[in-house]
Amino acid sequence: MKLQVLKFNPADDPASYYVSGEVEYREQMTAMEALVEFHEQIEPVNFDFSCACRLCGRCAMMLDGIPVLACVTPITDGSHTFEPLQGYPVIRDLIVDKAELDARLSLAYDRVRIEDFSRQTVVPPDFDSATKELIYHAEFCCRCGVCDAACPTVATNPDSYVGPATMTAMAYRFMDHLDQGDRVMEAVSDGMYHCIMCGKCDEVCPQQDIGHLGMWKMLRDAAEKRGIVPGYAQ
Amino acid sequence: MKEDRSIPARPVSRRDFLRLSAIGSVGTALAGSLAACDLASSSSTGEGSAGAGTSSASGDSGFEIINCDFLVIGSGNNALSVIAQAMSEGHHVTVVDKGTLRHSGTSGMSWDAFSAVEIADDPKKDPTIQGYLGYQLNAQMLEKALQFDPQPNKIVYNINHGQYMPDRQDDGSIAFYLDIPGYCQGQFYRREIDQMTLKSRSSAYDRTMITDILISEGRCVGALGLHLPTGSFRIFRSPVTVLATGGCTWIYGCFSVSAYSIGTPDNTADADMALFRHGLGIGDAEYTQYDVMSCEPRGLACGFGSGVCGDAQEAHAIFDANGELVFDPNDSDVANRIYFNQELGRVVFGEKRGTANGGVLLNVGDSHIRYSNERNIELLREFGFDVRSQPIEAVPEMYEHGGQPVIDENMMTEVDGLFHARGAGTTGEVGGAQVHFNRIYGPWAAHCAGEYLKTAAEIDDIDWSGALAEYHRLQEIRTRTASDGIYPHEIRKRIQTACYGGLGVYRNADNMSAAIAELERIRREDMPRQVIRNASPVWNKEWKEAIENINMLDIAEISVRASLGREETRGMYLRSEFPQRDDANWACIQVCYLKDGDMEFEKREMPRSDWL
Repeated sequence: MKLQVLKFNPADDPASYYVSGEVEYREQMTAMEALVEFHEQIEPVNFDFSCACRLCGRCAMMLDGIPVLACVTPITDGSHTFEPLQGYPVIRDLIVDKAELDARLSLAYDRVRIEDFSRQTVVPPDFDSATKELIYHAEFCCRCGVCDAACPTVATNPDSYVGPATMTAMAYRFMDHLDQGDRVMEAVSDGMYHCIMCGKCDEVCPQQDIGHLGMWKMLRDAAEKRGIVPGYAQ
Repeated sequence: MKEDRSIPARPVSRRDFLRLSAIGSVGTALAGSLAACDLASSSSTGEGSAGAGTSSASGDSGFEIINCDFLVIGSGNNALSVIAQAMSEGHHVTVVDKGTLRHSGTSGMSWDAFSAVEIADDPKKDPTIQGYLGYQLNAQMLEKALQFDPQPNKIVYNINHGQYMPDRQDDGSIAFYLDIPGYCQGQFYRREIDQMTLKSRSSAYDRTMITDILISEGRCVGALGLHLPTGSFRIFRSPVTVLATGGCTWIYGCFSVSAYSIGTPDNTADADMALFRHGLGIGDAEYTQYDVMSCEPRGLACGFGSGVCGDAQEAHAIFDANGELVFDPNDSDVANRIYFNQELGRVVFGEKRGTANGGVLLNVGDSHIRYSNERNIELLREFGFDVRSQPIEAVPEMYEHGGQPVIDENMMTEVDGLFHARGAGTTGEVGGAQVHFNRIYGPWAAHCAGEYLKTAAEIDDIDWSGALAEYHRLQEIRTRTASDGIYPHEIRKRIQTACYGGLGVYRNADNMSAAIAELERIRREDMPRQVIRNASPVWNKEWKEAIENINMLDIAEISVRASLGREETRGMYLRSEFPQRDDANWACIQVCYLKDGDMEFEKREMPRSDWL
């Protein structure tokens, strides 16, 4: 199989450039395996990974123009191009800096609460089975940024829409019955209604089972009930 | 096995170093130049920093000095409990982590692997504590940690640190999985990092690999390492330091992208082995822990987020290569993970009934499997595996490993001012599972470190020579040339392959001696020829791996030698020539010291307690 990899060392290179070479294809190969073979046999490439099983989110990159987690993405025999994840500054080669996204997500995930719980005051949730499914699947978001990189609204309207990764965090805490923040207001003010509900986030998410659109609909229902739908969306 | 560990001399005097370092100030970083570097370095710091340094391939990236009040190395499961306790006692905590914060090690995974322990008000009567006494421990240390622990109920603790545990029963009550009282499914520790980063009492420096500990006149005064994005040398000076890094399991075997481990490639015992080279004793290295994890397809091998697990609780689904059940379904001992692993070793390797990769066949059929694995079934299907209708190959994978500096009952290492939240002895008498006690030892280590600070003398002078030597060591690794060089990934695979032969669930003098011979050969023949293909200091994967390989080789050899020396069966592996536990001779910690280039072992009595 022929691989093309975009390389860039900001300390040395005037611009990014492609290197290419052939590695042997194997049945059931992952994109990460192909990249490792390229690195070992053809040309050193700097990329980052930790868990190699879609839990840490560190190997997010573009494969043939589509954002993926390389570790769990099957690759076909043929020609393929690896590039750094779209939308983030490149540190080197395929390693990008997602610190800003990470900081934003921490803010959104931080539980708002007036006081701590004791064993006696931790009350069980009262959610239906559909919500239980949504929240448990949302737990597995690994914050890889693949959804944001694929989102057409983030690409065209970044000032107005915070992006699906952060919106997932808000939906998660909205469903968390121990959270006392106003997550619906946060979601609306961060541009939830600019989302065009195209479902790209569901399509590219390496966790497969996170129901982004289901969560967006749930948040919109709550916003409508509150009467806080912005004028541009009415 | 002697090797030259000397540091190449360079024309930079201690006076020069002090003059440069004196420019630094509290809470800020200093960009400087140590050697004859041609460009100034990046001066950015903190977790948000990254991006381009201004170094060139031939130059270096200078250094920074970061002043700390209370330094914690690591941000994993154990470290988070250290950090929370230290902050609650009023310390400003500086956290250094090798990986990207929130994506590093065990706490940087969106997984559900750990079980929170809900400990009763009186730990002496708690069935969880009693049940796990058999798996470890330095009893005296545990007694102190348990008596101190301000939040013994880890489920409530986790909830108060932002976690949710949504996997509930239909009536909403918390689901205790595996039917073991006190153990709860549904932990996602990343939420705790969110909370930690938003506190004003913490500063985080991530993507920073600690490569050495700064010791001045017998006292730890901080740590040294590399900021990976820029290649800048970072000096963290601190009056007290707590190490809370994970066990090194990445030495055990290799598939295409993973070791035979659900652990992470960042856990390479860097700080522990630096201390070993400083002369500190390393204990518990022979103790390793396993369960069974699917290894098909090869690219998804041993991934907790991509495969299915065969634990003692799934023994009914574990078959040998011929399709025969490995465990007797009526054997109640199987629930004991020590017995489970020893028996696995006997069948797979002793009776040679294993699969091609030294494993078993996992045939889960329609049986219940934990949700965090259930969700992987669809992913495996994408690769052509339907685990509900066909068996999948699975191997014993090493999920935990001892091999840390020895500590006293107050969690301090053999160096003043340096504490270790999972030091030797936290594994212990039966080579057990530290993972369940990490969060009990963490707060105790933080508290002890705080108590130390109250009476420790002011640091009035620092001997910087160690920092200078470490700086040169790292640059030499980066710029080394050899006509017949070997790249880091090749050496790494050789270390992993050697350890696969000698650190598995089935050990004997033959396979361990072969492993030691190969590790000695790697040290003698390969390591001096280890070179990297591009010398730029900017995030250089090969440079990082080359530094790690030195540590991996050390921990590998200590571990295999410790196992060979222990002529009995204890812990989660079977020693085939000595299948019985021998308390008369071996109820002790083995501590390994580096003396004149040789590894020497001492037996040390296990501290006991009548309290529990």
